Amino acid sequence: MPGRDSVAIVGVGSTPFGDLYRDRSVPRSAYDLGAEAFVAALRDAGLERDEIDGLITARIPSYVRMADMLGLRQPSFVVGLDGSGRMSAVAVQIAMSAVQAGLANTIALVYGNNGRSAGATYGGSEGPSPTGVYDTTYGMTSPGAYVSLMYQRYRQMHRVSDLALAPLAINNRRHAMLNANAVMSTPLSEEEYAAGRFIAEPLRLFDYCLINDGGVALIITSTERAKRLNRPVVAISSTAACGDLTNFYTSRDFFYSSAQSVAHRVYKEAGIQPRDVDCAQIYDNFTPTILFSLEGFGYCPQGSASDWIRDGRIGLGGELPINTSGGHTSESYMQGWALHAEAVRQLRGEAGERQVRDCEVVQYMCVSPIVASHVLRRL
Amino acid sequence: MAEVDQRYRAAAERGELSAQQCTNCSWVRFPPSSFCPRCLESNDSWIVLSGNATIWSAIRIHKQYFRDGRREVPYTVILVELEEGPWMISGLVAEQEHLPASGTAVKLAPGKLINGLPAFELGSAEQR
Repeated sequence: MPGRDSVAIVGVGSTPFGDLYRDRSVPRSAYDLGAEAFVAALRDAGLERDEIDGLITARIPSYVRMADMLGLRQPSFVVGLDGSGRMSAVAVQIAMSAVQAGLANTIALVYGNNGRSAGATYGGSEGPSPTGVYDTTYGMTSPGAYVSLMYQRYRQMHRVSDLALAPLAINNRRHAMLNANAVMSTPLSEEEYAAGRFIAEPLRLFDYCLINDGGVALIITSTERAKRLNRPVVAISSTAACGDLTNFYTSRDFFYSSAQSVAHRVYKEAGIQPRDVDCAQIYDNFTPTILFSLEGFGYCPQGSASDWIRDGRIGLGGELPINTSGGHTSESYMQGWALHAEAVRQLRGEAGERQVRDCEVVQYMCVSPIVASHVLRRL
Repeated sequence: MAEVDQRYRAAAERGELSAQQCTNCSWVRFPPSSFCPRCLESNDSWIVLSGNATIWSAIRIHKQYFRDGRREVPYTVILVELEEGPWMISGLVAEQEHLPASGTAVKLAPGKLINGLPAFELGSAEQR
């Protein structure tokens, strides 16, 4: 990839999450949620709408409708992506590539998720999986169940204790309590975690992401342009991905070899090591993915992550604060998009009570059928 | 949405576990598809598998996701590696008190279908 740090995220915008979650009186559309986030991101960047010449939408049914609503009638570059969470990192990669290639100057990435309003359950239908019609005959459904298969094997292989995931759910909740915009705002104890019902055993309720409404938008341009906006510049130092594509969401090595491949490239390109990372944003549709990410990206040896995360290491003030806005289990299930926004806010020093001190390097990680990671840096 | 392959379903009703085998490279594949993922040839034949498999992992689903209540919760789902290579999601004909461990041997339970598709029971099949 040409030019480390040559592309920057200059605008982040998000809708309220907690307020929308508590007000269930009205159904919301992905378009309205995306538009609200877009307007917030434009303001945040200090840009005019007409300075946007590229549009990438995700989870929004029609990019045509979205573009029309936003008055972006003739952008130079347009992509519409599906609503799977892995696409948040992919969208950033596409935007970055397009800017580097000169296909557009300033691209808005717009994500709208009306999962709560639409009654999303993430299970119970065949879906697009190649084996879906076979799997669902046995009652097998939902990404969480495929992750649960991995975790059940993992915990036998590595003799992991029964409540080993609790610190992850509790860490997310502690961080959400410092985030006025989060859906969840009450403490979570280990006892309450353990009392949470099984969904796909061994995973319990608090291992699962929320289902809520919201939108997030990012604005990406060249670092050269970003420097003219008189705002702190957050550059994408590196990005890489690796498909881990089988018939199932279940990866035979818990995405390890794919993540190692991505880690090698993303650290080399950015010129850093895990020890240089001040804060991590880890895609946690279900809590075990945090363990798989930490191992795959070289933070700790295989099989040791459930010990590594203990004793405050992943909380604010710890060695590696993870998911500082509350993650998918406590802030908002924006499928990686809000984690990207949080990475930028941390690097700008705008995270308020949950600010990581001297935060200069943030890594985003996602283990999923498209394993991806970026290193973001404040210039 | 694709439907369950009729040849696969018919074999299950005869008490068999079946799959396509590539005529060119002998690769056994599941789910059914028109091309061999190994050599990309499209000629194949349906063969009867041994029914021997190993549990890669097992979980128990407690939430009733399906409006038609196709299985009574909680129920166990297994991901198995078949002796001939393919992996598949399946079920156990008898619910166990504890989730079976990864690595447990299972065998086809002929004729004991779950919603019309093959299911497994604990133990190794006799040598064929």
